[in-house]
Amino acid sequence: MSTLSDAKIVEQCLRGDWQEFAVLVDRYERTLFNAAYRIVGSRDEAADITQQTFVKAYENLRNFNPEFKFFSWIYRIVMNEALTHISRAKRLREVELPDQPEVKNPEELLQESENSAKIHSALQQLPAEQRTAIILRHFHDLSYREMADILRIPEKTVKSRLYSARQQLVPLLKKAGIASVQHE
Amino acid sequence: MSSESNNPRLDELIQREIDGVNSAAESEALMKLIENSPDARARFSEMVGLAESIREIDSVDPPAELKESIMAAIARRALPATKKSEGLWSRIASAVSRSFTTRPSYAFAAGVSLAALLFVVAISVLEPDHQSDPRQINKIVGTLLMRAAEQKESSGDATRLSAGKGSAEFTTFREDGAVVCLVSSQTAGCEATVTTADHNLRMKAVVNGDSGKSSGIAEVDWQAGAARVRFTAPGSIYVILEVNGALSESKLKVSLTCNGMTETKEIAVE
Repeated sequence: MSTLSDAKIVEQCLRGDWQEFAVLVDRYERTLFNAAYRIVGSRDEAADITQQTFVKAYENLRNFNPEFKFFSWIYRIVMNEALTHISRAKRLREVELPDQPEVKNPEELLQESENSAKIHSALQQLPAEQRTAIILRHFHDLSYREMADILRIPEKTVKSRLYSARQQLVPLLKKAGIASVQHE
Repeated sequence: MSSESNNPRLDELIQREIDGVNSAAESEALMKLIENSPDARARFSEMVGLAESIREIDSVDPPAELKESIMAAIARRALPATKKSEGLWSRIASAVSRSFTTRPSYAFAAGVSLAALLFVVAISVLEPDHQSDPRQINKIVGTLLMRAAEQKESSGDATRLSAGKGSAEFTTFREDGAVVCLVSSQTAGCEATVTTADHNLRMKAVVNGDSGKSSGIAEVDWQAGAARVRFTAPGSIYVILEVNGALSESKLKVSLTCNGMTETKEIAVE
């Protein structure tokens, strides 16, 4: 495993050593895939989004400012890709199909514990904007400011989305039987 | 639920507490509310439980083939080098000098083109030695493979030669200070030659398309203006020529000899 910094690897890629990009894929593939998965709810779609994210990052490497963290930069890309994907899918559904609940395939179900699958399923019932706020805050521990930067919205809106998301999520988790949110 | 559970001030304090942004005074105010109200306590407990459950959600493995698929997509879009000195040619030169030694070789056999025979004195052959740098070579081969595929895609079919029972394809492309000719033969025993009379083109390396070595699938002789590749097994060989000046109507002469028969063509190098 390379010990070079992200910025150094980007520099090498810009010199034409594109194979070095594999190190960045190794470092962030899992995190970005999981972020996309929690937003779009499907492994196949999350894999597509992860690939599009890396390709987009590679194509725009020259625009990356090495004074900032590569991860923050690419994380913003994956969030944008996932949210664009959702709004595109929503438009298609509105035109072609009635809204349908997410159906997970057996392979997807096997990957997660029962509780995890229930929480995932509850998250999928939130509006995409609220789901994204929960994911950024609780999976990736981002501050309001960082969330606002990634989503390009005011901090006030971040808080409002996050608070609403939590309020909606509690009854959903209760309904799903998640013990930690039940009253004593 | 009592009115406490619908208290917006309480909700905000709880949410801010979970996010760790309450001031000391706000935290204290919240603790007092929780101490004095069972509803507030329940609400706080729910929110803490919510945060804990979300944190406990499992990380999911990405599909095993995802990385490969990403890198294949990246390869198709590989960035051109920003500095010529650090481009493909310098990497070829550096990797080849690290990976191969040269040794005197035998003269070209009869049947090779006249142009090749003119350079018979200084023939050398690339051979791998124990200090080879396969990672570096593999990277170069990867780049060449990608460029050859792009070339085929953009310009249609490669130059195809048939002789006797054999055939071979020659795909030529420019790459950062070098001209590369990919010679692919599906037939063992055939002999391919690549020659040039242009003084601004100088044969620099012959690399196996599969492993980066020149041995294994072919016997290779090359010198400044000509390379001869005798395939001992089906495979691909890259013949790499350094560009030392402007190329004007430059051509590579390629020929294939199988079963005593020869076909020759010229390929323009732009």
